[in-house]
Amino acid sequence: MNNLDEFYTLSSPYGLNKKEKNMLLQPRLKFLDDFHYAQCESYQRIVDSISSESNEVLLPVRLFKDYALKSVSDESIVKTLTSSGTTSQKVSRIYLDRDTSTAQTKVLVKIMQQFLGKKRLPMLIVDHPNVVKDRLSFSARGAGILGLSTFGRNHTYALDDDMNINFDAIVTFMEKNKGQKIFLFGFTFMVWKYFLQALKSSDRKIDLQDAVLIHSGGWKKLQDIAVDNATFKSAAKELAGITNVHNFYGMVEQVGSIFVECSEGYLHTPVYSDIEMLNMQNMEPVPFGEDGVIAVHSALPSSYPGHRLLTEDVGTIVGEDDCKCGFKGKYFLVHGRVAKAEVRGCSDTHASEASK
Amino acid sequence: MSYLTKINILVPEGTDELENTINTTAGTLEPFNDVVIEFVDAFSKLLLTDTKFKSFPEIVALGFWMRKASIRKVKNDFFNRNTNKLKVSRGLVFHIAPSNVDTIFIYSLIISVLLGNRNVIRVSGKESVQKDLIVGSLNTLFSRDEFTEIKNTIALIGYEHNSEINAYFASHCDVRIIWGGDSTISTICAAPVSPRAIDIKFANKYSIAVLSTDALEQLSDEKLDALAQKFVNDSYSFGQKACSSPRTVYWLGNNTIQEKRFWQAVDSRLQAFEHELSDADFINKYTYICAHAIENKSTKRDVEDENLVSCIMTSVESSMDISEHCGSGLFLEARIDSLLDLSTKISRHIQTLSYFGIEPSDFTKWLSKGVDGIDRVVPIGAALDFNIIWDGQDLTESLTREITIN
Repeated sequence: MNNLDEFYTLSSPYGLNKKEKNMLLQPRLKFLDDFHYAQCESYQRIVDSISSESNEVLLPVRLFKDYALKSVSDESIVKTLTSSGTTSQKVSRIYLDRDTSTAQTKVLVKIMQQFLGKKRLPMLIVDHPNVVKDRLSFSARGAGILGLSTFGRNHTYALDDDMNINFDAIVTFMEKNKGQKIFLFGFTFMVWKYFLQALKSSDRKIDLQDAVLIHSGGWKKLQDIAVDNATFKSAAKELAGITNVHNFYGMVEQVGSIFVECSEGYLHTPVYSDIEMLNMQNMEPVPFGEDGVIAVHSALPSSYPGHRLLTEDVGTIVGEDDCKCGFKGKYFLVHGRVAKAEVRGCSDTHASEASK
Repeated sequence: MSYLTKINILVPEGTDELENTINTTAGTLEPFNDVVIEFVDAFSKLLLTDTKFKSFPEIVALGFWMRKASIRKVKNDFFNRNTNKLKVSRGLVFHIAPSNVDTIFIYSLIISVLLGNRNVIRVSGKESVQKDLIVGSLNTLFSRDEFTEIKNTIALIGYEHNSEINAYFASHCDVRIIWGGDSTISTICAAPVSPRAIDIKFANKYSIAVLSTDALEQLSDEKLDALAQKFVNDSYSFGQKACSSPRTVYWLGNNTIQEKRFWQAVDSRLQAFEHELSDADFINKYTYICAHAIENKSTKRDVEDENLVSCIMTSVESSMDISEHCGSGLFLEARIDSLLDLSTKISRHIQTLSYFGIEPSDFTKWLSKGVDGIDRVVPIGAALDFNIIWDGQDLTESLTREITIN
């Protein structure tokens, strides 16, 4: 069943309560279960191995690094997304056809408009200009910046090629766009280290009180230096006057699942996707309020079997439909990657030790 | 040689150079010298009586193996096999321990010490409570006057991997023992030992189990539970990552009810076992099951609702491909009509075959016909027991040399 058009007619991605949302989302997910079972041999083999009752199965995200998983012919692929491989050299490959690619763009627009408005805003990118120029080493960071650039105009890079704050460029940008709302975008770690911390150690102030800061990319590096979301936000306010800050959680492996932080500080599920926290010992969802491994479901992926994924992240669902921000849907927190298990036994890890 | 200053000497404490251990003028002890046996016994007593070790069953097992009675047996076996032969120590043995301090390298160290060799052991810099405890106990023993003689024959050292230091020890030692993965062995062996020295390599190996379903049918529930407990000890003690822990289970016979009965018994034994499986382990297992299905059209077996035991039924053809296996209680399963079905599948990577319900003579008959791998065949429950013959090599032979006098 292709009911995606029904999703698009909704005025807000956060307007449906649990019952209304399930009536729309569940039939679509069930349809995708059967569709991928019929169209993707790898998906079929996994279902045949694991699931005796239905064609529903969670695919672990790591599989996309090792296998080319598609449910459409090679000729209809129009775009291949790749992930950044931070822990291994392997990258995920996600194959999009015209339908899935269009759906991805539409949904991104629907979600971002909730935070940025319908007009394109002057956009300040917290990165260096070469991040999108070097096509050979085109990174996930570059792809993310390009993807979100469609929501901005007068794109200006806040850092120079040496990763220093480019004050001249920022001043020119601010003058040119005086009195307007500004869209500030960057990767969480880059914003923290090369923008906020650099501002702190310089004696210059920047007034971005009219800006909306949207950032993503994960907290791993910041956790290591004990910086959490609250610290991040208070630094943004103190050093640049930014009060409108939204982190978002998402992954290249599942188009459509973009979970943006609301005014209350929680990540929200839009109507196109759902989230569960699992107890890995029995793969059952844990109650709200308890930590579990994050599983995500999305109505969008039809060109590849990515509609139900098991991530390697840990999170907690805080509640559903009753967030003080006014958005409906589940709202949750992400705590980071699951802790790596200790390696024991006779065979060893000298190799990784030596390669460091 | 400035690179030698990068070496951190953990044992003996307070020493800043290895001259006494490396230098041959320090003299050598004859195999199973009384002082050495006393030392090993004292070490054993420390491991068995100190409450610090109680929570590490593998160290307690090591302590048991080092008791005087057990060492005396090793000694008697050695002299019985070498009647009228003159066996002397080889000299300096350079050990490279696995980076995760597993007790296994202590076994080869103790044997080497018992045979009168001098030993330098490179241990990993990785944080480890077990390592610190072992280092502490050795230093305690060496603070006692009676072991001064032994003090010069054991040096535990740490250094960041460094090709110059690796080459230094390679050129000075008479035997180099490497415990490690295939890539570690290649890295270490880039520096060859001197022309008259030997290498003993304990590379990555994997293990399997074979159970007769007809024999399982004869077992009472109580006896089945005891067998399941042994299987759990073999498989889960080191998160199934020990080279001797079974990764594939073969069912001899075609009584599928007994297969199910066995796994249920294993699952129920696991409820009381400190398996220490984490979310990361469960994710690894789940990912492995999916990847295995894609590649082999295999089927996951539903044991219980919990995933402590995860089983994948597959063909005999794909059942031996276990190098990427993630451990943590994951078992490939295949059905065979006869041991002969496995003959061509067993590669040199296969170390231990643990069994239930099969006569040892059946293995003799089968293996004498020539099979590429398998170093040891043991009943289920004995997979992790240490034996002086390891990976097909008699350590008491490799760590001594024989002088012929005519």
